[in-house]
Amino acid sequence: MPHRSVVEAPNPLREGLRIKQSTEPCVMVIFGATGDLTHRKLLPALYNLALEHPLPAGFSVVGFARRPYSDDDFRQQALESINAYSRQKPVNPQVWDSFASGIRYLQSAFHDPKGYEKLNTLLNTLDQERGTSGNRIFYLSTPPSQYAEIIQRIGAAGLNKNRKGWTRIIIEKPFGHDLASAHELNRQVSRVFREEQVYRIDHYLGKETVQNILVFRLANGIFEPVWNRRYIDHVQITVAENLGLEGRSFYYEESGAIRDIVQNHVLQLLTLVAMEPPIAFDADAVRDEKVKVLHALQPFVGRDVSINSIRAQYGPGWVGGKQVPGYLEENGVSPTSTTETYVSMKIYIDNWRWAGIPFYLRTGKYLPKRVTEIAIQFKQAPLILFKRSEAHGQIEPNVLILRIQPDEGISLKFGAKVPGTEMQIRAVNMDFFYGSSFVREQPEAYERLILDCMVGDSTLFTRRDEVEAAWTFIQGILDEWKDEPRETIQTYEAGTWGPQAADEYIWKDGRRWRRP
Amino acid sequence: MTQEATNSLGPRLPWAGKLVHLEQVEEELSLLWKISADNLRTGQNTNVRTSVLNLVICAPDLESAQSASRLLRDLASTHLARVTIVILDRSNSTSTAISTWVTLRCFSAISDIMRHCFEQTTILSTGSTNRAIANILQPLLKPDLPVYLWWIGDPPDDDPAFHKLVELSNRVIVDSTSFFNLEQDIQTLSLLRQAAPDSALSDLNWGRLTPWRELVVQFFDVMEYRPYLSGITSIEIEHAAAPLATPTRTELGDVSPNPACALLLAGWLKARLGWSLTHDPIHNIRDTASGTYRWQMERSSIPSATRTLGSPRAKTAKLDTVQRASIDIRPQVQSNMRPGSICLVRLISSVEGKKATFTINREGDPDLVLTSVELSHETRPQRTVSLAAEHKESELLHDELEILGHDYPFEQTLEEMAELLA
Repeated sequence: MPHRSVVEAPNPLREGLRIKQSTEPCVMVIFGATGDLTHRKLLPALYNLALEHPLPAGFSVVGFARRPYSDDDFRQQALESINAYSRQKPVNPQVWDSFASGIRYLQSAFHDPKGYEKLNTLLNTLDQERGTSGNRIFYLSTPPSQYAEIIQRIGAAGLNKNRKGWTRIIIEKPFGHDLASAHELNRQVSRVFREEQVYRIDHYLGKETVQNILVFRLANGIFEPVWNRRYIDHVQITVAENLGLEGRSFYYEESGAIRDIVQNHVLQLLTLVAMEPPIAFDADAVRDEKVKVLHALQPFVGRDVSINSIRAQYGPGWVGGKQVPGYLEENGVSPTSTTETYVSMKIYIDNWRWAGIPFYLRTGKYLPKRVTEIAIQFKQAPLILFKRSEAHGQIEPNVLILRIQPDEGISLKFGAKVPGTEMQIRAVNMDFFYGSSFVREQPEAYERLILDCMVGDSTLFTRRDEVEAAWTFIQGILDEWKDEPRETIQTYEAGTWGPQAADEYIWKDGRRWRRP
Repeated sequence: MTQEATNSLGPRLPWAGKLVHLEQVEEELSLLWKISADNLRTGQNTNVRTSVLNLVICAPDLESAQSASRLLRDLASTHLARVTIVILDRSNSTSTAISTWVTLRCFSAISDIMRHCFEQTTILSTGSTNRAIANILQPLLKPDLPVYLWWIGDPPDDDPAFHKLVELSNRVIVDSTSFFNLEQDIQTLSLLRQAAPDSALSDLNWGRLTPWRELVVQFFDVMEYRPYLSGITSIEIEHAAAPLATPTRTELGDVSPNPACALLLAGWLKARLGWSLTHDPIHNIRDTASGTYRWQMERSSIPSATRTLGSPRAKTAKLDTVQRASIDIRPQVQSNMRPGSICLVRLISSVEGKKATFTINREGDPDLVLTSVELSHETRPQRTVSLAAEHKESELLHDELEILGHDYPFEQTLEEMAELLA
């Protein structure tokens, strides 16, 4: 074999090719390989990558879990999962055979050092047999309570370092339960891995439309000049779910909407909307700017929390034509639970661009529809011209809506004259639908993110300081809520857009929630 | 002397819409939009009028024009504003006539409720009007929108009308799969690129080749294999040919043998590897009839990304000396593959006495390829990859319509092909 004394410069054949760089052969070790996430998302994502050929020959998967499966059992389960959840069906038998030849299973408890010794042996064997060259990705797809144990065991077995290739670790959300636990988890991780080896995943960032926020803002000349406090009246970010607990009451009781959605997804969307243009489109430059936004969030102090945030639980109601019970009547939920299923809040960003501009955030379960969107409402033009006409009072402010899901796209609402002899103005929407403009099928978020990790691009992953800055803001709210009486938790009827109190506090500002 | 084309009634073309006089095209289209709006008031659908680009399709006969018109169904989502199908009938040189049809075409987007609509004008030109087709076309183009010209068939080398159409266009698209005089057509395109530098050129075959190029690139994305890039000494490419000895056109309009894809791949690799033709072409082979080629090449430089770091100067100097290499293109008789499809790509490399062979082989199932790496004493795991989704003509065209500027790697490859075939 020739010496590997080569400059790690771009592959000269790649110039002009419109396809992402492929990775070196590697092994992905999935801890929690028999779990739901592995079967619904990870294995279908890996198969789709193999099908569309960014995965190199020799790519291998090792499932690591407690259940007593053989390699063939795990392969069979993987095939069933791919058949059920892959965006590309039916499974192509030849591609599957090629992909399955690299699948292995290792039965072990997560705390058992022998399991990690066996893993080490297996990885070395794969390096020999499949040419994976010591390149490894450890994917933590277990309950968060197992993270620290697994990371510590990986370190103890020396699997975090190898002289031959690279080692990376992907850690699923939630990253910590509060600021202290996030700190502690980061500390545990940093004992075993360097920060550049760590990929904290928030699958929202893998969505095409989330990435399009930056493109929309920074690749078009007409939006960025008005993207500031001089032209924008306020911003609304909505992450609404029309589902309830779906059997996850144990997890949700501990988490609630603020930890499950706001701390990660909502704040990530906020940072992308509010950040300054980065100096380059690379991992650190983008994340530096996102962190600055999080640091600039005006913290809630004392009564600020009750004035500027609403937490609520859904009561009984009708969603999608089905009658559903209230949160407190759900299986596995304590009748005295204080876990919120809805949060809305008004926050400010204390920087030059956004000072004084409110950002209204809301998320909840059992809302009328599943929708994620960012609405930027612009200040109104002076309406002197239309003061005496019939149009006065009919003119609505311009709103730019970035729809993340479903019907991914962008809409701009503006006023237009109704044809006729009278001066009547109506708001109309100019719509751009992602799906109808680009017929190409969008990859699943996990496909994009796994591939990014393989090529060592951490732009769409969360950095340590970013996680901690987000938790610092959220912790201020959690601390205040902890001391508030249970009666402060509002109730909303399932299938509505949240409690009356949420409407009232935005009305006081002379604004109203959008109906997405 | 002035000559006036008969603005005549043409043949009945139901697919092309309403037969109108040329000067009434805009008026008739406005009327169609109005009727469409009226229909909407009583219907359930929403029609969206799209306005992103002009597409001009130049076809040699009615049959290929109708076939292109059918394909537009898949292109609605590129936001076509107006499509003008021009049929340049060269079979009748005595009469001079022009016939025009207009229609609105709407296709579902997202769901049946919303439909994308664009305007379609069809022009049948015979006789000397063919020469003035660019002038006839100019006022029919939507203002301020880029013009894409899709030229069906061989590009003429001596037709001023074609050159004027090219000058009118931001992007010219051809499909070398259908070229009957491939070698001559490549030279024509190369000259065209120099003559009309403002118009971008593209070839649907370049799109067909994208997954193959990607697979070749992927071999050398692996750092372990990267050094072998500088040691490539042999490139072998096989293309599918129909089991007939003489050049022929199939029922689908394909030409066999047609080594266009193979030549594109060879030209691209030659450019990327910095190879040049030897001054002594005695061992070269050029059998156009069978699609067999062999070129002796010189490797005078090594790709910049693979220079050794900290290695002895002597080693670098040795690599920098001129070394021999070869490119071989040959047909492989295949009855179940489209003529010209790539069947096999093999790169053989030798570095520091170690040999490596990188192979992409299409076996059995035409939708699948097998990629493999053989090192001196070891065969690495093979990989089966699907290429199924890449072949549809409308998808290739769709991809080309999404690009406005020059595709410089393609244009450079075109130059390399022209040099190889010169």
